[in-house]
Amino acid sequence: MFDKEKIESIKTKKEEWDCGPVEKVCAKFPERRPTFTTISGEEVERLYTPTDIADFDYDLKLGFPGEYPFTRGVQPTMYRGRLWTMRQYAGFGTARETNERYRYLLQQGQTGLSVAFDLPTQSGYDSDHQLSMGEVGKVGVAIDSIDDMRVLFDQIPLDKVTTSMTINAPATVLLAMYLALAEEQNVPYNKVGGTVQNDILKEIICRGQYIYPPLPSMRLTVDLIKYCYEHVPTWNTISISGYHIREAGSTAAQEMAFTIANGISYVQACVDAGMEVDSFGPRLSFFFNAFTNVLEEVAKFRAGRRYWAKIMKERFGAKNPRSMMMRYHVQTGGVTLTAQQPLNNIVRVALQTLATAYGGAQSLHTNSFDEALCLPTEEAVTVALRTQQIVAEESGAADSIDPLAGSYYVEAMTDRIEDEIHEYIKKIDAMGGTLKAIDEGYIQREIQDSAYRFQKEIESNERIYVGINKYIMEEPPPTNLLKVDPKQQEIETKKLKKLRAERDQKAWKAALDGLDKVSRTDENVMSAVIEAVKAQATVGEICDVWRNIWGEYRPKEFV
Amino acid sequence: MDDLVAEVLQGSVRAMARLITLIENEDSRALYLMAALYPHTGNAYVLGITGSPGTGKSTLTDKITSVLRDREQTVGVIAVDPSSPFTGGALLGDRIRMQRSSGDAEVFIRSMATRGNLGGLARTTADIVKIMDAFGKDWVIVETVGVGQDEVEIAKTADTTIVVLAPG
Amino acid sequence: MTAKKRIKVIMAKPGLDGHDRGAKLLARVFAEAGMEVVYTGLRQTPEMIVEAALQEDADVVGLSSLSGVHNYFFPRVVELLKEKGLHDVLVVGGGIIPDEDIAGLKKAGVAAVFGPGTRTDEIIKFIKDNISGS
Repeated sequence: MFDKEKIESIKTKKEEWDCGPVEKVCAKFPERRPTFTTISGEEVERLYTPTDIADFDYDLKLGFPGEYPFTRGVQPTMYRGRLWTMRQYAGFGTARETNERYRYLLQQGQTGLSVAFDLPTQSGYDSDHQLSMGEVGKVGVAIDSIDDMRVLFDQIPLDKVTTSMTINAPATVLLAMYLALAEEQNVPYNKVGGTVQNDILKEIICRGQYIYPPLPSMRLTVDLIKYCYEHVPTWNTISISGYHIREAGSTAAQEMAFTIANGISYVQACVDAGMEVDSFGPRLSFFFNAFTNVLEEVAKFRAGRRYWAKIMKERFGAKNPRSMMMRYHVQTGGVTLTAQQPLNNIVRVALQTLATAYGGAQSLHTNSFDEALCLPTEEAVTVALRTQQIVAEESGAADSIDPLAGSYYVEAMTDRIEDEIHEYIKKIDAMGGTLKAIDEGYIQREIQDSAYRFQKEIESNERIYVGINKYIMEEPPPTNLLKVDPKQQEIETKKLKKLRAERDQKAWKAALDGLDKVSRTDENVMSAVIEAVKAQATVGEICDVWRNIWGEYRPKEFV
Repeated sequence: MDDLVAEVLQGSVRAMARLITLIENEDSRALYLMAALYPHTGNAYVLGITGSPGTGKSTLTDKITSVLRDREQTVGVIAVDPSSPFTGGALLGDRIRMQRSSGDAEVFIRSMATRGNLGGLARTTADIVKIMDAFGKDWVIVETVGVGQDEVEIAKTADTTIVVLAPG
Repeated sequence: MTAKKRIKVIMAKPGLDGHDRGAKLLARVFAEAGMEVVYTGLRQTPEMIVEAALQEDADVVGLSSLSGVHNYFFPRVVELLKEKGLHDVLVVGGGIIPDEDIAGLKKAGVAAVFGPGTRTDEIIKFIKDNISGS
């Protein structure tokens, strides 16, 4: 971008500036801190100049939107063509209550649905299971059988919306229910759109909603990907998630690095299962966090896009550019919210939304300001959605593509984060891959160390967090919090009892036996799962078939 | 205090747990209590499991325990982790690595920190083995990070000592 | 009480919630404060937690919940501890717990509830001030 002479002259002038005016001012008025760091602990210079990106090659590093290496975005027109999808994660209580919230959100201009399931569903237990005590309908909607799924999407035509489901270990089961429901609505599979998270590795690393050991878990993941490639071509078969890695305490670079490491494992598993990289590559999607340090987040997204494109092209030999595109959903940072002075969270979310827009995401969930206190109320959900709409329509952030490109600071930080990602990938490869690195606790420990460092910085006031260690206020306890009916489990248990008594026992038994048989071979399980959900087998019953064959995963925990 | 010994002999888990704490704390009353317990020991088979960190000692302990449980044997486990030389605190992570056994109330698992000196640790461990023995456990497994000296100390207490090595 | 006495803590995650950042962080911080900490891991039933407290002769049981199940789990742990005769175990809780639930939890025998943003030294001080010496 600059010739050598120019760089040298800027370097000299910068030194003069450092030793001259800067030193003079600092002698009288010292800077606020000896060093400045991002929330990830990366040191930030006083000033960035062309010398920080001296060997910057535009074509190699950036290129054009919609073209390799996709640093500037995955589509040629980005938000000038269509804004990102505003997709609010929602679900609580019964399928009926959640269905009402969905229809409300669609009326308010939301363009996609995102289903939150309760923990029993996510862990593959029915609502009447002993371990479901107290959890039914708490952090999401309780789905036991296709009957619940039917209520959840009541009056919502499945060819008109796209649906994202946060489901991992039992992803095959919930997708099967969705497909069976589409059939009931006479919607062909190729008109059904959406995403299942289907990312078991990050469950094992940090989110905890696992069921089976890693190898059979990966087999389910691959079966789902393969089935969709053949039958549900527009479905996003996996959402490789850094979100929870960041929530668990990682830095921005670690979030991207470990997510890409997991992504490499999934691609390798599919290739090992005999699939062409370009057959499934275009359907892979990602899911990231957005914190409040706008520029670091933007750099993270750009670095991730560039690095993933290289991995797919150079490591896996992808030919289709669509396989190289890192398309992703973002959710604003749950852990960045404070229970103290909760209205301040609206501002945090707005900045995070801005970072997401500048970063070039495909869809976004904005958190509600009351989420550090409880499940979000309707008022808070509306403000969160409006925040996206204000950034999209008023701020101008959606009007020019990748507008921060060329900033010395952003480009230098993008390069640095990419280097950091590369170092982690090299290290994990040397350990023998992600599964090995997880088994040895390496990834978990790296995340926990970062979480620990952050906590120490807050407690020593090295890092300021408004309302936590500075600008603290006495405040009355919050009111108007959303409550989930504690009777939920009773309601669901009754429903299950009825279902178990009234369904066609013969068909049910035959379907589960069929699933058991297929699961013991190398054949794809998806068709058998679809048959089982149609025969009204429950999530717990289907997951038990596999528990009997594969056993359950027991983590070696690392503190 | 004499009650504690009587309660241990009657099968009180609570009493056993508290007596172990007294031993760990090198409480002055411990010597006297141990003397009262001593005639009731000598029945348990004592297995030492040692090796470097990360070699799978806990996993092996967990598996052996579940095999013993299948044979209807009662088991006590002493799992030793190092104390921090700086803070004196400790993260005791073995219980979690024995999840198969830790859900079984018939398996008594006691996590223990080294608390500094090795000689003291060996004496304490030997006493805790005796408590579990007197309580009536058929097997007592002592799992500890082995670093030279320590392995020898365990071997003195154990009927059999297994040294776990990483393959390769 | 002898010179060798150390505070022993059981850190547990009751229920199906997998968010263990806080629990693991506290385990580490407690150990740094000189305590001996047993972390039980995820998906613990009240029975499992109390069995661990019993066998380990714990002074403190720390419970962490972010999925809204505290009203069921925390009192159940206290109740089971009492059933086993563990009357002097200090039970503290943390996580996403609405203020309006705190009074009920305290009444049920939970000594303190620490919400998001609590300083870890505050929690350590509470434990040191409130455990019963033996």
